[in-house]
Amino acid sequence: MPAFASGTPSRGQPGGAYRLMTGGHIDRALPVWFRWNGRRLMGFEGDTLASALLAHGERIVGRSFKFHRPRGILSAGAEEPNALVALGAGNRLEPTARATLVPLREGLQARPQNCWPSVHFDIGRVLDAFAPLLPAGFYNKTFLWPSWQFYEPVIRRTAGIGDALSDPDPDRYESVNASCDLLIVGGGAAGLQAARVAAQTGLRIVIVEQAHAWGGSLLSHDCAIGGLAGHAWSARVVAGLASHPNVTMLPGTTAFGLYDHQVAGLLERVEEHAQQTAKVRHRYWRVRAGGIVLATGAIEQPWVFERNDVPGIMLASAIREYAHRYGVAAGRRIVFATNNDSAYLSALSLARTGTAVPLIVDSREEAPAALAAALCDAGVVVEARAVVSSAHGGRALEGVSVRGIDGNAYAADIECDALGVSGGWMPSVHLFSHSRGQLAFDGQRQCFLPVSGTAPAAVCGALAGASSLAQALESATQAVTAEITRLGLGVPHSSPVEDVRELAARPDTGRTRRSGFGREHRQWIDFQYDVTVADVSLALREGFEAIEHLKRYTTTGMAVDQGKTSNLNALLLVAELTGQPPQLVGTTTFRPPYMPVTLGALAGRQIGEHYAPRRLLPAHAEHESLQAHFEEAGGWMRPACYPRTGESNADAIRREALAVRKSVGLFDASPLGKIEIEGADAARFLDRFYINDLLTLEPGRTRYALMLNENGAIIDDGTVSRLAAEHFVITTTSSGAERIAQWLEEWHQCEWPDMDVLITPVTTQWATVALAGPKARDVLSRLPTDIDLDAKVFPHMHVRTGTLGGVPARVYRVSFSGELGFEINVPSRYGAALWRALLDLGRDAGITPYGIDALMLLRLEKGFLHVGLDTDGSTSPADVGWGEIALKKQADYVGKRSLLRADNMRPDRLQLVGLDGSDAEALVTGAHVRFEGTHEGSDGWVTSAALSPTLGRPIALAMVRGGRARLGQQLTVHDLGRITTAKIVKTPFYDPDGGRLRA
Amino acid sequence: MLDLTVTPALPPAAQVLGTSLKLSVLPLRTLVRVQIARRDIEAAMQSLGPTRLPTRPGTVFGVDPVAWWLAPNAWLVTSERLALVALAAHLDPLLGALSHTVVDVSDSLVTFELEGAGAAPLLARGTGIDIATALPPGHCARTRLATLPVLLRSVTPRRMELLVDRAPARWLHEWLIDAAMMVDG
Repeated sequence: MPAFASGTPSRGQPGGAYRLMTGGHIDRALPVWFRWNGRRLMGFEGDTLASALLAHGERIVGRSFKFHRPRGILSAGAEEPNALVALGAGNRLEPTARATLVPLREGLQARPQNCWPSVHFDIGRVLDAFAPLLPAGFYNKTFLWPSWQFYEPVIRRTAGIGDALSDPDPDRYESVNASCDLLIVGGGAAGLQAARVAAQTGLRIVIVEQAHAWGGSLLSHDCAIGGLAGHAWSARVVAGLASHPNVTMLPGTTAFGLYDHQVAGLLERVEEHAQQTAKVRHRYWRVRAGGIVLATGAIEQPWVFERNDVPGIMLASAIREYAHRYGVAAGRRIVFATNNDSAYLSALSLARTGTAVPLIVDSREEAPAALAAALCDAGVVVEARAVVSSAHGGRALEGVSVRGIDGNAYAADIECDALGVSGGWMPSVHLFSHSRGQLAFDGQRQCFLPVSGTAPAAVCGALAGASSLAQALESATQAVTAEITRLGLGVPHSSPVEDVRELAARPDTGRTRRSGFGREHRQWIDFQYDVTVADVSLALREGFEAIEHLKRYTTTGMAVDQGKTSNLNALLLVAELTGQPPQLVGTTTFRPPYMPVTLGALAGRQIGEHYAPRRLLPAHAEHESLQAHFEEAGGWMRPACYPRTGESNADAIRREALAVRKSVGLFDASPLGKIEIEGADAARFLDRFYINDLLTLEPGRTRYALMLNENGAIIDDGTVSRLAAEHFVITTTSSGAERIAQWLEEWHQCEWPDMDVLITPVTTQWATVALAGPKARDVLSRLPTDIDLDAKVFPHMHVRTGTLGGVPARVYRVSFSGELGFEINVPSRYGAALWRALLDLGRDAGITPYGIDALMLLRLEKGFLHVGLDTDGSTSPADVGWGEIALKKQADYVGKRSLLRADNMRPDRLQLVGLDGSDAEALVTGAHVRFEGTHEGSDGWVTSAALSPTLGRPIALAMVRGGRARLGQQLTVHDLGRITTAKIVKTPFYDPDGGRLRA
Repeated sequence: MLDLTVTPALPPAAQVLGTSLKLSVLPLRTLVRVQIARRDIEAAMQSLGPTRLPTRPGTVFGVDPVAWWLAPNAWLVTSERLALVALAAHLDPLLGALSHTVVDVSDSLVTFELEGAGAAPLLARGTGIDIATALPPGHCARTRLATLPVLLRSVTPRRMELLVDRAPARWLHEWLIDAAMMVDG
């Protein structure tokens, strides 16, 4: 019976010339058309892109990163280092997708990447000719003359795999939180068994499987469980789990990271497994689990020999998986090379499909008798103590050279178009390592195994070292039972492992996995980054002996596959070359993510309008009706200015500022932070936070105050108002409202819990409108109120409570503009009404709404401090002219001790001063200032700048080195090549005696 | 003359989202934050007992007024039928001689109601809290939803109340509608 759908490979054969006549868990009645590199090809429902390409005999599917060597499919899973392809086009382009994990779907477009003009003829391949000049770390040794920067643009253009999108991603992503009692990672035999046992307890279980089909190796393994074929057993268990309401099953989902407190990050590829236009493409799950069971399996490792990267050389288990799961033969004549039993099973299963398997070479002393006999019966020659020494062929494998070792004189050149290699198995310990689990080298299996109990996760199956299906099922039962018991979540019912039938494979793995013949710089360790035996050897000779150093120097294991098929070979090679036991060589650190995660999934819906909360003012609609130009400030949408028709923003800001100076302006100050402090110790409590003396503040009065952190740096400013003996209201910067409330609460709870103080943030309880200008009192007095507004009884820096128009109100006589000002607070529900009323009442007085930009200009003219703009994380009170008050205060307060540190007393600290610009143009905030002839570098920078409409000249505030002792001195101001001069002057620039605000 | 029109952050309204969710903005109600000085907590535990102001963390008590446990010494008390003065008077006998504050926060919070089987899945899009175990009916929780601090209360297995600061309430409303698109999906 012919094994193939056609007698000879034919490009016209539906489903591919390498498609086997029978077998596979694909639906041959459902053809799926897709495009590869522009060609229209057909696969079947259930195929992956890789299986479909393999079926069509596509040998070269990608190019390596460094030397652009042609590469073919190596594996059938997440470990794939070669078949990294670009999917889709335009703004739906997905670069660097593993073809082995992409379910085939109708209309799929895929193309190779990292090649030009084509994957079959890639100009970049010329680099391979210079390989001897480009060893590990070459970029640290070359490109020194004339400079690295000279070469960098070309190197950057050459480097990189795949293209990044430049347009917005049109697909929808979302993130979801979930909690469960037990998270099971892995939907193969062990994972399903664990879930099956756990589900009986009624626990909330989440089970994830990276592939879109459940069953893992059961889908390609010739076995039976409880009398059912492996895949049928898997289907039965899946159906049973799906009927449990407490079990959430997530196929097509990768657990990409485990974090503290049993939090796992999962990426669900929704659209791909739904195979339809879903609402969401990828879903990012944050799962908080009570317990975790890892059943992540193991990854077969390749052999190292000369030219071991020729397309057609594949992992032995992958060859078996393609044949049994997808009905695809990796070649027509397949040789196997191994150092363990598992490749025998692969060879046997291929031979049974009718594919020619002429030889299996085993580096071990003896071949396993039973398996060897079975292969002999199938016509396969078994050669022990032999290795593949080199591969032949360029774009596709044409044959291999085989040599005997350890006294075996065997030598032969074997013609073949595929080679299945098995250098042993490495458990997928990545997630276990994320949770800081330790690994130990297992000499029998020649790999690193998880050390049980060193991580908050149980392990089972191949991950725990199981080499047979029966062991995997047994370990899963034990692991999940122990985990459930440990967590006190109950005791699972007894669930004996069903009878398992399979060909026995021993765990013993030979120590040899490198042939040792031929040129070392053609023996590949890391396929993706083109790291060779010669590179590792060179790194060791140059002293990079620590494995973490060697990893970074050679870049082995640093590609997007994170060394899933290269780390172990590199570690064992280092052990071999240095004569150390593998345990002492150690492992590199596995970090999340296990697989690349779409950035869109991490962002979820936190994009565009949903990126961050927008806080609206109580009178937002009023500002909109005035055509306010809004800007985001501290999360608030605030009117920056109110430009009239045909008016520029700059002109509007000038007009608004002048209106405040000349008549009256109206400003929405609602975001101003407000915190109520009540209690018998309220005054003493607050006095410990501010540099100002607050014990002497009398009821009805308000004081401006600065707040420091423990380092003596200014963290906030505002007013402190005493409404009654034990009742204060403090204001904070708009962006500091939440932070300062938490700061006060933390000090209260942690340091002074005995103080009788109760703190209540009330920022948005009150709408705040500032009425400022010479006519402010006149306009305010037009509102019916029981508050006496007369200057004599309600002077500057006082507070009154009462009613305005029958509404409860708190009115503060404070001013940030430098003019007579009232800050009027009413419950937020009346904020819009108050705004409308004041605009109506002040119309004949020329009342003008002004925005945050005009306010910033007005306060600059007054030289008022803006914390966060004029200060940074190191600014002390003395730096902004408040040093005397800060040090004069007798009582202790947060930050006081730090003010006496030598560094805070230095006379050459950056100090806030005023600048008068010499140009007609405004100075620029952020521009650096310099005193000529002093030293190189900056002497400070401009913190606030504007062209003052009131004064008619450019003014600024700047932090200048030793600035206050340099009044009258000239300095130069540097802004991106533009140099101007300015003079240091005293502030305020406007109304220095403050007569206007006390009016 | 001052126009006394009340302008809520969001007008009361209800809308059905998908097949399993109703989202409502509830009318303004009276809300006060009650705090007791730490030195009086012990006394408060004894005098309050299990009634009026719940002493068990994360629980609510009452029908109207409803008292939400916020902290060992702090509660949110809500009422649809009592105005501020009446509510304060209602609380007076409870608080008695304890050193305490009752601060009006009626204007600072907006109340949403989520009703239907989709309520919990919707909230899971924005908060990490384990709604099934941490929020059975009669319980409340302070958490973050879509990065915003919120208060959640489970009224019945399928009805949740959600309180959020008034300033970002409109943004959160839009966020909820957007997230609800996926609940049926």
